[in-house]
Amino acid sequence: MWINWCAPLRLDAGIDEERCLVAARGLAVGHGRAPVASGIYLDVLRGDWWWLLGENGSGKTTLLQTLLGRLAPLGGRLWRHPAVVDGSILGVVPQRDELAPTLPLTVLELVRLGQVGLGRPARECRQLAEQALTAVGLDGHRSYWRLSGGQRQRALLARALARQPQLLVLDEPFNHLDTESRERLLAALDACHGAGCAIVVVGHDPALVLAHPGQVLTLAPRSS
Amino acid sequence: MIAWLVDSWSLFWPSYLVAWFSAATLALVGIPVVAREQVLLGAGLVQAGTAGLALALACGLATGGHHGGVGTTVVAAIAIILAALVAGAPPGRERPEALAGWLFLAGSAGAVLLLAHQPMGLELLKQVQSSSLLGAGPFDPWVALALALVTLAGVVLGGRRLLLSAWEPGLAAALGQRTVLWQLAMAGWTGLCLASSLRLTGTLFTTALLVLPALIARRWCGGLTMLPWAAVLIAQAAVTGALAIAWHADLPPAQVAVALLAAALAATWALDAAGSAWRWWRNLAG
Repeated sequence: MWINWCAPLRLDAGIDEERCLVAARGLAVGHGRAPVASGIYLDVLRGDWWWLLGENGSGKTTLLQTLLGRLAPLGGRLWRHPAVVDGSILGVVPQRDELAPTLPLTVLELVRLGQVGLGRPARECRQLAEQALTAVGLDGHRSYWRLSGGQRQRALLARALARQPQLLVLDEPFNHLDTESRERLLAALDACHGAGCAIVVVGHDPALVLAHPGQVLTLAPRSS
Repeated sequence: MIAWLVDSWSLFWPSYLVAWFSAATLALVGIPVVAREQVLLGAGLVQAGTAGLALALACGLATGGHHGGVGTTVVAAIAIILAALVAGAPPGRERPEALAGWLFLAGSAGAVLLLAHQPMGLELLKQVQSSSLLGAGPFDPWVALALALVTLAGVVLGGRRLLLSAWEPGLAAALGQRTVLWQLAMAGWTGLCLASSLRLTGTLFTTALLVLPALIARRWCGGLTMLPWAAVLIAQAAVTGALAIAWHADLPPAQVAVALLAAALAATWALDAAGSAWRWWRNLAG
């Protein structure tokens, strides 16, 4: 469904609503009124792998927030598949969790928290959560607060995988990871992609593209 | 062991039931408050409710019962919900902590000023603020039971959804959850529970039972699943212990319950510190 638009429109290409999960046409994104990035054209199809690259301040995270529906587009058109809008086929790995260590939390509980709104039986959800934890190589009974940075990133990936997403969106997941953690994360993403899931990864290092072939959208910083 | 309960049951059964049911409700409602590190805001909301209760008393809405009836509860609940909405969207660049402090101070002063010229007004307010568990009527336990059961059902059926909306609203919104709706529902229910407890048990007991059981339980639980049950158990143990001590030592039970919980939290901190020191020493020796 088209959710926002500003005239004049530039609809250069139609949208294959069967295969397409997210489409942007001349999209402008930003906080407030001034766009931090504009003129963005993007089609994320089922099974795609997209790299959204750019330097700090180029608007990568803002674009991601807009694609996720957390920010309204400032211009252009954004189309999101209805199942992406209602979150039922969407998995999200944030740059860092917003959780404050105020309550006790096991890794399995973190993953189960991410399964809200799936509408599946509790037993199936638990099974999916355990499978996702096995895929990233983590013990669900450990305290989340005692994990290292790399392990936390894998736990957040497991939380997204436990929704069995068809679109997995990751915001700078490789930041501050050592080589081993990075390899494990990439292996888990590869497996997910192999199962037909579309992957959108935000990053700032162009060398990331070497880690996995995919389509690349590069955002340039706006001159002030 | 339970002779005190048998001896005093016929006289105080509504008060005992109100204390147990309100304690269970507050212990559950307090978990999102502690999750968001809003202990001061919790105290501020209770004070806003006290001001609402004082306003209802000043307007002559007290229709009977312990510190008024439905009218006082409704006005106090509205005051708490309004305060929660203001706290959710601080004006300008104000920090939430500053707003919580403002709510606490404005609520405390406002309650006194509203009743300053009412006959018996300040006496009534003193009772509310210092808390009393011994004035409940025969209808009050059923109201407290209904609130406890609905809160429990909310935790069992929608606990994860509520907690994700409170703890990680950004992710919840991205996953298609109606976070604003959930947060409004939570604010409304919290307001109703706090207002009812305020009317029946007073400010001190309500504030303490809102935050202390969850603060103690989070230190002892390894995960989220056990946390609500542990918080309820701790609240029940404190209230039962307080009622027994109060009966034997002729002390006010609400204050004994608060003192027991405060002591238990201090003991938990001391045990934590001792455990850390022991681990440090063992590592050093090893």
